[in-house]
Amino acid sequence: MFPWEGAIPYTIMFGFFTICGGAVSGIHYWSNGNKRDRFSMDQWDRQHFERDYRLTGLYRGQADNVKAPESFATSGFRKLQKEPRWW
Amino acid sequence: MSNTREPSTNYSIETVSSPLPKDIPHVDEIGATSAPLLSAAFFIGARCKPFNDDFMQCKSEKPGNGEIGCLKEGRRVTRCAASVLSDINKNCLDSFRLHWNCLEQNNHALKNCRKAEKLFNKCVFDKLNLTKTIPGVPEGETPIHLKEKPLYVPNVEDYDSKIAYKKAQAEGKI
Repeated sequence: MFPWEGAIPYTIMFGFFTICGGAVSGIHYWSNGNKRDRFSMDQWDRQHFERDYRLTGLYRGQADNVKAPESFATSGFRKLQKEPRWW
Repeated sequence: MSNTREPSTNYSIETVSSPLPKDIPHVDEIGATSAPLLSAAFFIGARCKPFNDDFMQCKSEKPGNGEIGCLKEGRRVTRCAASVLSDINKNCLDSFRLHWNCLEQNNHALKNCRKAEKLFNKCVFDKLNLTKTIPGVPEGETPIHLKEKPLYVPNVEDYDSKIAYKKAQAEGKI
């Protein structure tokens, strides 16, 4: 006989954990432009994100063109420190 | 500004529009992004090894001034890589896209996309006669991309390349 009454809280806990995990993984997938996350990145990967951004306008954008668009020749990628906040 | 390190988390991006001076000859830069470049890297190396070696030698001979001093060699490297990419795009676009899309979905790890890579390598060998050779493999050892049972395998095989590989096997192409 299955213990229905005792199983109810476990069902609720399991259900909520599943919903939360699914939502987080879904947001990750969506925010990467419907691609899976990148992980264990080094400086080489990060500098390529910047190059991809300059070529396609997206950090995870990909293109296999032979020639870069005209804007690539005159664009740059420079990180600017924001104004320090007083807090 | 008192803080001179490069900001890593809290920064805004500025794109600067300053074209190269007129006395530097024009070259069309490569338009392929990271995943297609990784996918084609070994074939670019196979065709352009002399140009690349020339460029690296120039850089080591002009320490500290390689960016300005090696522009000519650099343009040759760019043009050679562009020729490989345009040949791949003309002849093997389907398997090329299969491979780099697989790489893009799997953290750019070559071990996750061996099936798509086999299809791509075969196509490039047939059409362009370029072979993938991994530098520095010990004598008598099978390079990793040719091993039947590699130690590291993907947790989940990429669906599209699995289907394409099965189809190619059924047609006897591989």
